[in-house]
Amino acid sequence: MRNSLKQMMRTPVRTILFLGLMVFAALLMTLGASIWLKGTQTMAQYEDRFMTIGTVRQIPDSFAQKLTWNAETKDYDVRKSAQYSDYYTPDDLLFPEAEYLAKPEQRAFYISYQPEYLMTNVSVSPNAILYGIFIAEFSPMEDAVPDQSMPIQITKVIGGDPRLEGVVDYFCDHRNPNPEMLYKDKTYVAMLGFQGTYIHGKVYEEKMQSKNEVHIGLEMLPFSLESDVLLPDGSQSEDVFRDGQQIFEVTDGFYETEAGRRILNLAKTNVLYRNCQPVTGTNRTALLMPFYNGRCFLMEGRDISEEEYAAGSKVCLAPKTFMENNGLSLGDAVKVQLLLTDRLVNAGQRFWLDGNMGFYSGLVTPDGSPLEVFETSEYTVVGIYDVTFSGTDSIFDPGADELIVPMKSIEARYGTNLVACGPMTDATTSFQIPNGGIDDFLKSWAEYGTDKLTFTFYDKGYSQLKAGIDNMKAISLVLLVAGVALTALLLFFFSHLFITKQAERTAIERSLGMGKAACRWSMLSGFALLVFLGSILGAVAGYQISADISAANAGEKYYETTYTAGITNIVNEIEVEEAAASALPAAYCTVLIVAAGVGIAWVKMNRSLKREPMRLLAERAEE
Amino acid sequence: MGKIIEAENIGYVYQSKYQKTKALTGVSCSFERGKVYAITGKSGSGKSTFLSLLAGLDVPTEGNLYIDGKEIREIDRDAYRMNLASVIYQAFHLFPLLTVLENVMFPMGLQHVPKKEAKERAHDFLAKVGLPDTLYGKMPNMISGGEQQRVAIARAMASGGQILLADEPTGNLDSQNEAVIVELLGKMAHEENYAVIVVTHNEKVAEAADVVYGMLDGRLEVVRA
Repeated sequence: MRNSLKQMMRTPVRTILFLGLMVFAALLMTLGASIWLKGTQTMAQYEDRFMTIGTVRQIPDSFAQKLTWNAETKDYDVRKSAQYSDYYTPDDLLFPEAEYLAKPEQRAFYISYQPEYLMTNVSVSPNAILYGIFIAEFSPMEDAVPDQSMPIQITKVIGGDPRLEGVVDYFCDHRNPNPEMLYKDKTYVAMLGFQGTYIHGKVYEEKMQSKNEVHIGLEMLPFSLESDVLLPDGSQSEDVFRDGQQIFEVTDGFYETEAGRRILNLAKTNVLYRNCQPVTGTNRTALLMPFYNGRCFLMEGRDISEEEYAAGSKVCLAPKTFMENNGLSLGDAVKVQLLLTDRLVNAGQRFWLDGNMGFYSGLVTPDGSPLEVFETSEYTVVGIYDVTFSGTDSIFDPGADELIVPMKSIEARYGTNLVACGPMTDATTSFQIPNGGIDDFLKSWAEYGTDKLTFTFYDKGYSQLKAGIDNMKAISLVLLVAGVALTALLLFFFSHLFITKQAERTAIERSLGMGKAACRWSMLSGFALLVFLGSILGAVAGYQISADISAANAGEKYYETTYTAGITNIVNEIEVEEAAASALPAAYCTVLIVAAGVGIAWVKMNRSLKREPMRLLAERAEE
Repeated sequence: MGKIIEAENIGYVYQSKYQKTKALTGVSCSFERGKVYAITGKSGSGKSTFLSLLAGLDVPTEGNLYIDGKEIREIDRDAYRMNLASVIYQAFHLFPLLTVLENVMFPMGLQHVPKKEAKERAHDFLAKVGLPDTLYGKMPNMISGGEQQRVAIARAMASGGQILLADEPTGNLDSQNEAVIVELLGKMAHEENYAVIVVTHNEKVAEAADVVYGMLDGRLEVVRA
């Protein structure tokens, strides 16, 4: 080997060039292999942390105009409402190529009557008048036509906060273009509520002129006695009170009439609504956007398991505020008494986190009977979640006091006491597909689906990460291929220089008595040593560069980039640590290069050894 | 003086994939130490093939070749070349990347002679062939053809053998260097007791030999005993 090396070192330019190029080739190979491996490992490592969720929204077929009288402007307001010839269902999303990790679900939320528990609306504002809508008798303070705000005194609360009795406030039959005169010596009854119209007319002008007393507030409106509860299939019932009279004079025997009985029945449910809690049924917690996007997070206990979801177990996730307000702990049971079903919106749209509540009117059955609790059960709290901030800002808001339960745990989950129904929306309908499957899904949907449904996908930045890693892997592949090609080229070229072209040397050695094995060793050892040195130096350099890249990319964050649905306060991000640089590619590359080098040299050496030395040397002499 | 090489009716056939070529036929002869033998003949007559067999780089396809009384097929031919027979060539065939001194030391390295001793002996051999020590550190391509051939002879001496095989040793030399080499070969035989076997076209070299064989179409004939 010493002679071999000595002879190599007598051609330093060639030898150093070979060594340098081998270092470079091994560096390229190792770097390429390291980056490729790291990219693959990083994706595998973080695959589980990403989750791709799709939400679904049905596009209206058309918009209908609805005219509503506005007593303040003395004109009709034009309101548009979306029209659907039919509602698509999650089953319509089950097309042949669809690959779901969680099948599409359109969630209802249920309103549970909870008289035994303290709800957020009460805990936040204990002295507030807690009814958006109430049923009361009242008397005008003067004879007047209620086509503008007029003072009335509430004389008796039939359904609602009793503290309203005796209150004088303003009233207007605001939506009625032809209201009838109300007399101050008569008593009337109506379902009343404040619904965003401010006092107006003569009273308003007088108050504006009197600088001592400026009172510009909401006025009370009457509401229809019609049932807003839908039939189980979502259609509206026939009701004699639909679009009918809203203000009734209380006379002897009035409450024996059909209208009187309807008012009393409405009052019964209205009282129940005061102590209500939203309950949402789902098949996977992560399909609920507040949990998916991190707005809600489990702070104690555990998530509902797949088995519990599948079996419809009576377990639930409960919010921290509800648990604290009621002195409950993990493992306690919460009694749930389902009263209403809403299939239009999610709980956050009716039970706001700030304690305010949206309200329903017409809470009687289609035949006018009072609504009753339709399902009672006890749920064990297995997990307590918290909400990152209590403001409201998107259609994905969680509801105040919202319980999360397995959808299958609610037996009468489809259409009992249904108060609202509508198409699939981003807030109510979602599904999970494999990460990276968005394009395939949309491609298949374009083939099988309808353009009446649109999808929004959320992947927590998986696409961004994957695109980055794919890009990195493409570069690594180029490096790897370039490294392999350069290595092969170098090995073939320099083995030609160091071995094939040294056939004369081999012949001389043979003629001096050196055996074939010794000749092979003499020639191979120096070449192999250079290959080994070059590959190991290059591999170490490649490994170091790869480790430096890892260090530079440490803690890279990947952000959700597909939010289009109004989320502003949530920063949905996943911090990704790239897989640590592995020494394996360096080791494999070194072994591979040395093996290839020795292999190629071995073949060439054998060719040289096959040639008869005397003949070869004689040929050289002739040259 | 005993025969160190004896050929009995040997023949050699080159066998390629498609044809067989008979290079030697019924060659019988013997070689003794202390003599210079010349083998003459035209190109392609089989001289180099015969020399190759004598060097133990191949074995005859027919007949027997005895080296110091042992059939060549039965001996370690690598050891034979290392210890007993040396070859010098028309094109010298020194290791181009080793110095003059290192070239001469090379065979002793194969025989595991300690480096210091090998160096001393190499100096002696180089002195014997008349090379000044200013050339010892030079590369072969830095010295003349005659000097290179002298280095080749010194290297042959360094193997410590008894047989020197020379393939057109003066083919690339001018007449002055030719004479020096012929004289050296004579010294190798007559003073160092080598059996010197020279394949040559050169009449002067043949004339200086003690015995001359002629090779024609693979057959060997005695020209001058």
